[in-house]
Amino acid sequence: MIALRRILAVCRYELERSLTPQRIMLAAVLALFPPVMLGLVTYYSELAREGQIGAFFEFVLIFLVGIVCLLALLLWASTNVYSELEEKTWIYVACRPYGRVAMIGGKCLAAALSAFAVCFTAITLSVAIGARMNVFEDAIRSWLTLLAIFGLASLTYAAVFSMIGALFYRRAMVFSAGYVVLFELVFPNLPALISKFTVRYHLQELGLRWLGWFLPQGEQAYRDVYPAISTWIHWVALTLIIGLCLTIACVTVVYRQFLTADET
Amino acid sequence: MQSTNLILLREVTKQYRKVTALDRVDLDIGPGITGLLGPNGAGKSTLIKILLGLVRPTRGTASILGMDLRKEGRAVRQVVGYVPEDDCYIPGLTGVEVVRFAASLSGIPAVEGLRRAHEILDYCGMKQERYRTIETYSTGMRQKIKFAAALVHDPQLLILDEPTSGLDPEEREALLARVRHLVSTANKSVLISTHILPDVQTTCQHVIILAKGQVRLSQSIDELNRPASGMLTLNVLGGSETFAQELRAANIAHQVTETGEIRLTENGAAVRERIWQIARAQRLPIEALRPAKNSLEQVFLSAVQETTRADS
Repeated sequence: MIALRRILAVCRYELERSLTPQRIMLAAVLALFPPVMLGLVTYYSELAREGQIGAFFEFVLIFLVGIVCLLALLLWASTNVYSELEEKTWIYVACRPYGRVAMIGGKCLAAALSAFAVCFTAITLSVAIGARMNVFEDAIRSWLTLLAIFGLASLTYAAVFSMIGALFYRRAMVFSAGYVVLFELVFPNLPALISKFTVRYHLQELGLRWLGWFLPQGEQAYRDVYPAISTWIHWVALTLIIGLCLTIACVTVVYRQFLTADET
Repeated sequence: MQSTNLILLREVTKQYRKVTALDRVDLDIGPGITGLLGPNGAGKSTLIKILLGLVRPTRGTASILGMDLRKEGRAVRQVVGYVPEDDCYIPGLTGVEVVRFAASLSGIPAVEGLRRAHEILDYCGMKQERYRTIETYSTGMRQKIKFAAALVHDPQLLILDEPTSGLDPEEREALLARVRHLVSTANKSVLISTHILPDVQTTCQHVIILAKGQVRLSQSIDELNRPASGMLTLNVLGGSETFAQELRAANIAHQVTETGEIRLTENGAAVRERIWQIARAQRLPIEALRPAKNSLEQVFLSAVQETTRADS
């Protein structure tokens, strides 16, 4: 309980200090990108007239919001951690009795909440546009399901990027970008075992099951490559990834000696 | 050596690759105010980082209040407050929020943390400016905030790294008075790392001089201020050089300081008699002839010079 209070305190202060005009502007741009795309396509493209707008909505809500979520966390999660470790403020946190673990937990939570706020806005506006166009059978259910998936995605990616920020604090952005390219773009698209060790695979599976949306090639083609496994395995896998990443990040900041440039 | 151990270091060595920052340091630091002096690169910052658990010693053992730094780092941090030299404030927060945040990280509940933050800011002389964001603060105000944040969890030992650098004389005196008050009334102990010798002379009860990663001196200020045994200080009005030449001719060991003061390493009756004879013969009036005292500056300079000589 006390540990949670400290984590929440770090999270609160992190959110407070991050509410700068620049960051709010950036968050607004990210959040508005998917609904603006949908709005433009809905009103100006041929898709609506050809009755294919539903597939486009699915693409935007899964792929585009996913990109927005990743981008938000790429910008905020590892940055929050490595900027603390690199800057002079780290010494201030590190010499507090519980500062190091609370710092990782709080910053991860703050990044997850910031990214989720962006996703929440994007999904809510997009689903509202879709509901107006009668794209969804049950708009409320789709909205809640998408929020659940992106809530989970925000937390998992925040943990992954926090770990990267703690492990490679001098090159965190490079490693984070490398992670995105390899584990989010390359590996999940390989029809190989390695694709099942990515966060995207588990999130994608949960999304497909809960929403019933399938890629243009159809369910059978997809299942030939990725046979269906129980939902709880995806839950366990994501929980393990979050736990493992946060543990590695905490152990790193607790035991590593963080030296200034003149000491190395 | 001091009587009760607050900080105990045994054979502590810290190496950064090929550079030895601390070399077999043995220290017993007792309660009260201790000054840590040393030129740049002496190992002061490394010593403080070891005490805070930010770096681990390559060899040796260190403990604070009987707690092993390696095994009980978290418990040690509970009893230590640290005022860093750098501006390590968290941007975007007000002064009171910074102190309250420090309280949260020390495990103090939110309401209690806020109460303590205000109490300590009152003690530090922060008024309404505590509600301004910290980026708008002057150096003196930032120093007060760092001091308050270090004190908020009521630590027994305070480590201050260059606390008075950048402060005007009034702020400097106020901060040192606060340190003295804390030690005398709240039974705290303080370790001050500084290069401002008068701060140590006026505030500390004990002084440690580090040079090239080694302890050159660990002594109480009272002992330092005692007359140096067997030494004399001679002040001559106009013509200390002439006087020094006569002393050389008479084979009396001495040295002339930068201020023109002559320090004699002998204090016998024959030496004194000879001094008066020279003064009479050269018609040079003696302003003062008294037993020599070791000023902190002299001790510091000789410790540093010793190191330089040993190096060359």
